[in-house]
Amino acid sequence: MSSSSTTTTTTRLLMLKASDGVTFEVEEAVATKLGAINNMVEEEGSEDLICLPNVNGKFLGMVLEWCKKHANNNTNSDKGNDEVNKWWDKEFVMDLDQNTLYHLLMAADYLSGTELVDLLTEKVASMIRGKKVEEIRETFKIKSDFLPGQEEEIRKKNSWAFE
Amino acid sequence: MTMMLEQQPLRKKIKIENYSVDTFTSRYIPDDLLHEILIRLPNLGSAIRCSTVCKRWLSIVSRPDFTATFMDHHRSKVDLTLLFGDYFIFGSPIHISLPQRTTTLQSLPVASLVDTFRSGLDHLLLPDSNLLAMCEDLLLVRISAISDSYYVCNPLTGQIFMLPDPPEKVHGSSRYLARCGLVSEPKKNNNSNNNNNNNKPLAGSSTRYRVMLMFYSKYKNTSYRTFFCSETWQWTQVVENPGFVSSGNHDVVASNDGLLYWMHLERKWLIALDPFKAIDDVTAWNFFKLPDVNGQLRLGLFEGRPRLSQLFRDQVDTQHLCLKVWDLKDGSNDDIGHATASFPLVYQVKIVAEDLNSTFASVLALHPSHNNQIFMLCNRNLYQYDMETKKQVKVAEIRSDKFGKMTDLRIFPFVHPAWPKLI
Repeated sequence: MSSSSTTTTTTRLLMLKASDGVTFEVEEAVATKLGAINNMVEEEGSEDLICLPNVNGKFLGMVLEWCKKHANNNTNSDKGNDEVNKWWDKEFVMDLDQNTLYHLLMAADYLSGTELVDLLTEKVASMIRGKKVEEIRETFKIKSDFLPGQEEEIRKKNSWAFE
Repeated sequence: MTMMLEQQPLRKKIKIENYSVDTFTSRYIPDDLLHEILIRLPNLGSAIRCSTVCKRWLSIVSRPDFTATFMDHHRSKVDLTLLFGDYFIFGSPIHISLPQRTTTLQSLPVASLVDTFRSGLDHLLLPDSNLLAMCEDLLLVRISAISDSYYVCNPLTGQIFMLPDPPEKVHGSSRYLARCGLVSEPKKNNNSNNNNNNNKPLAGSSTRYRVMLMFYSKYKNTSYRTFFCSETWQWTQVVENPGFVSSGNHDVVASNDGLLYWMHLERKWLIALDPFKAIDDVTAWNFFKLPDVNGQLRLGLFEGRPRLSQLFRDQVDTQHLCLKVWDLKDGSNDDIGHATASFPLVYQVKIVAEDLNSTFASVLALHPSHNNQIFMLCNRNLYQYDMETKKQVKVAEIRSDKFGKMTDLRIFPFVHPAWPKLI
């Protein structure tokens, strides 16, 4: 971010190509919010087309939308932006269905978007919060694979947490 | 030229060739990400309860580093939390507004504990709850809404226990709770303990602790005390201490070597007792002569050791506030009951009061780990003040109907420890 000057005319554009061939043209300052892309830009320097064979275009688009918001808000270096970002983040994750949420999380992780991974893992954790084990299984469509008695054993071993 | 971003080498590869976009379930989340998710639960207890979901979740919660990463994550978000105990201006709600919430410092009333730790305590920490005492990560809370009960809890593990009712004698209408303390038994050997613990998600026996309640009689010049002992799960018999009444200051601190300290301002004593050795034998208590000063002293902790402070308007130079800080230096302290101590003055600074009409000024808390930082109240504002750089940062604005009592307001600086205490 600090390397690019503030005027828009000199902003370098990068092409990102998703697994399904969809391409995105984004400003370097936006794409480098993602650690993986930042590394590539720093190491290789001059490449303009980056192929991302592990991310579907739909989710890459969403990740970049998030990056754009945060890159823009961060340029007006003001403390108030922290609050703005928080609100925007809240909205961003509010209505995500599980399917999209997991795809985004994996995409963010693959692209090393640390802040976005934090936001999305928080969101998944919030879906666990306050639920009973049975409800958690239901939410995440998990079947218990414990043998009879095994679950009881775990409870006994960490009895303080189950009191 | 084109570049390809391969799968990161650090993460385990997962098969994603033949997934369909619609059936992508939580099963596909790699273990390391699931680990990241589970350490974001509000407390360790709820994370450990997740180990009964399925074998994979169990394997993650059972990782040797799970507890350590959990604690690290929560500490990195807030390393110090100011908790407000409002018992002594009970009946008049305190409003706290924060100018700018920062990641390193949050200040919230105790009723918002839930918010601070996002713990599973929300069903118990009602608006009528008061934080009475703190010992590292253990809290003593009184909840008036539920028939005035006392609770000991740890917001990091999510454990909460209701104590049995204290003996009738101390609870009469003519008595009022004047002092209370909570102290846990010090760890015997720090290093070996930690090594053992790190092999399991959260092992080790529960911490032994004591609760002290001291009630004053409204009509008689006397006080009553009782102690709660975690092993017997009982309160001790109520003991009367005639003439042991001290007004004004309610500070009680628990040092890291397992002693309880409080002050008797009229007699200028700092009183120390070891509740794990002798509770009822007053001759086993230590009485240290306080520095000879006029005005209100406050008692706090710095690095687990008692520290005194005083903030007052300079009599001569009325443009300034004067701040003094003393440490307790024990002499021959093994000889309990006959120990000597001195109070070397560690800081004496003049503070340019931002608001010169400031009527109320008081040190409300000491920073538990920063030698030169204190939290002080000037009028309605709470400042974090650095005694070296002389910088002051407004942390919060506090309002209460009973304004005169505000200098007595108690704030508990909660530091997120590397390892939580099991109760």
